[in-house]
Amino acid sequence: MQKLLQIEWMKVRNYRTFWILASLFVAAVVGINYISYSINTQVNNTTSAIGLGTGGPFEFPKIWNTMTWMSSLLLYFPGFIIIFLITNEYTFKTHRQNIIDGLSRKQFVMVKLNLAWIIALASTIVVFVATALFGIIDGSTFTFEGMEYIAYFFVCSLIYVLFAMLLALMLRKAALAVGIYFIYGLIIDNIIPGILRKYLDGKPYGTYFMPLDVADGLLPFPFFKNQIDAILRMPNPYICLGICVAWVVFYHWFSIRKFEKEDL
Amino acid sequence: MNYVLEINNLSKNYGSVQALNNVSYKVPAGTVFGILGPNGSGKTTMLGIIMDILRATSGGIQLFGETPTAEHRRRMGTLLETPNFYHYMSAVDNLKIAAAIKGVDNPDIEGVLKKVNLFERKDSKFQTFSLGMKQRLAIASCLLGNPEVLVFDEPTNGLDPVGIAEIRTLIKAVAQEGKTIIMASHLLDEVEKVCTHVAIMKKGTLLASGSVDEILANDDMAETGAANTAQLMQVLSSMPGQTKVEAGLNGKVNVHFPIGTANLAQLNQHCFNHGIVLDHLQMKKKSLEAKFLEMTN
Repeated sequence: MQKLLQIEWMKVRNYRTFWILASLFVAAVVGINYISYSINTQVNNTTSAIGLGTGGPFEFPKIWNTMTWMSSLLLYFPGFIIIFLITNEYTFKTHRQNIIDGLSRKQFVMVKLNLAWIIALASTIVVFVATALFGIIDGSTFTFEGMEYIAYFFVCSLIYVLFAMLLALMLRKAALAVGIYFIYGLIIDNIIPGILRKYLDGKPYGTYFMPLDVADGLLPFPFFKNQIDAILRMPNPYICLGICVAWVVFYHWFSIRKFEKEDL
Repeated sequence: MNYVLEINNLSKNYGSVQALNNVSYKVPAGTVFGILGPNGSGKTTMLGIIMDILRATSGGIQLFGETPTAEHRRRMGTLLETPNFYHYMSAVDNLKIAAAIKGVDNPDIEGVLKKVNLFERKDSKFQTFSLGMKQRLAIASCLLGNPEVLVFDEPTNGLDPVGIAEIRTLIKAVAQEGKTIIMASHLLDEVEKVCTHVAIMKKGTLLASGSVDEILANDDMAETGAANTAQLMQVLSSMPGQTKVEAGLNGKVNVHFPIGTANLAQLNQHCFNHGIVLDHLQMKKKSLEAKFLEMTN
């Protein structure tokens, strides 16, 4: 697998779009958190009522929740990256050439799945570093308490990236995959649980079971926590995690099966 | 005899379209094997199945006498349909990827680029290449690691006349090294000039396969005519050296001889000696093209 990843590295190294998207993601993580950080500071300066007693959203340990939630809004970027890396192969027909030159179909799809894990892990590291820096700059004492949110963020990234990969494998065209990924993630994925809401009340997973929504359920909205909890009824994270794992297994199974069985 | 490739009852359907219908043949090691057929005859589909990028509906193949694996494909250099490379990467970087996949340590990238006259453009991006250059890069990629078997699908596609001649010379040179070459083409002339063996396909079925001499046998044929056609045929049948006498067009009679042995003076003399005066005598070379059209129509 190491050799196969080296080949992927050769493909990525010269691919400018990859580096631009990756840099944009890093900049956006810093940017979106800085925006909410400065709004939060201004609000705190004018009315000291919000966030009193429990510590501010940008102080340890709460910052782990705050920043992972904020950053999770940007998880479409890592998804775009995997979409481009996979649809490129279809556009250039190099998915065929790689097989012709001597990769097995399984090797080809497995290395892409590995790439998805690496992209999710890298995104998580970016967010971890950004969170640690913001927290330290804000002046509170660093603590690993609340670090489970980094783990949740990793699972969330993995779900977003693997879902994007599935779309890329099915649609083969970058524009189509990006469009559907975006519309699906922003609208359809949220609308279906909304429609089914009345049947879902009282279920332990609440409304969180859709491919992307369930991952969002791992990272609760960090502001105005007490009021929000009552309205949204956030699901038990372990149930969410269980559903996420099921989706991850499904994405692997589907991707491998699809690439092994079809005409390329 | 060793076979590089054996195809057994291979069929492939695309929905209701049958692209391959129960095709079987064998490619002996060390031959230059041409797969000849008009557009849409199933040549590329068949090579696609051999290379595991298409799934056969039924039947199977063997490579080097074994069930095919990715490992076997690494021992073959293949150009299938179009040159497939990463557009944003240079010729050298593309070949590095191909070599890494093939498992070639220390690939002679400069050497293969020189062989196809692309060395000066080695650092140019693939997307800046002309069609002919792309095709030559694909052939360079096939040569990486000096594989035992080369598979070319329309290797001279998109090349100018000089390029075509160069590639044919290259193929012949490679064949002289004892390598097996499998080449699909719709150009008869190409197959005739380069191949030792041929399989002829039409609409997914195999019409014939064997050595080029056998299949595309080019014999000498003389067209004759006389007042009494029946008597002419009888007299010609008695002539030594002829291989076949048949009725031709417009009451003419065609007589065949092994290639290079027809002698019109002898033929005329023979008829005259047997009481026939010819009113028509003409040498007709049956072209490969006529043969091919005859087989595929």
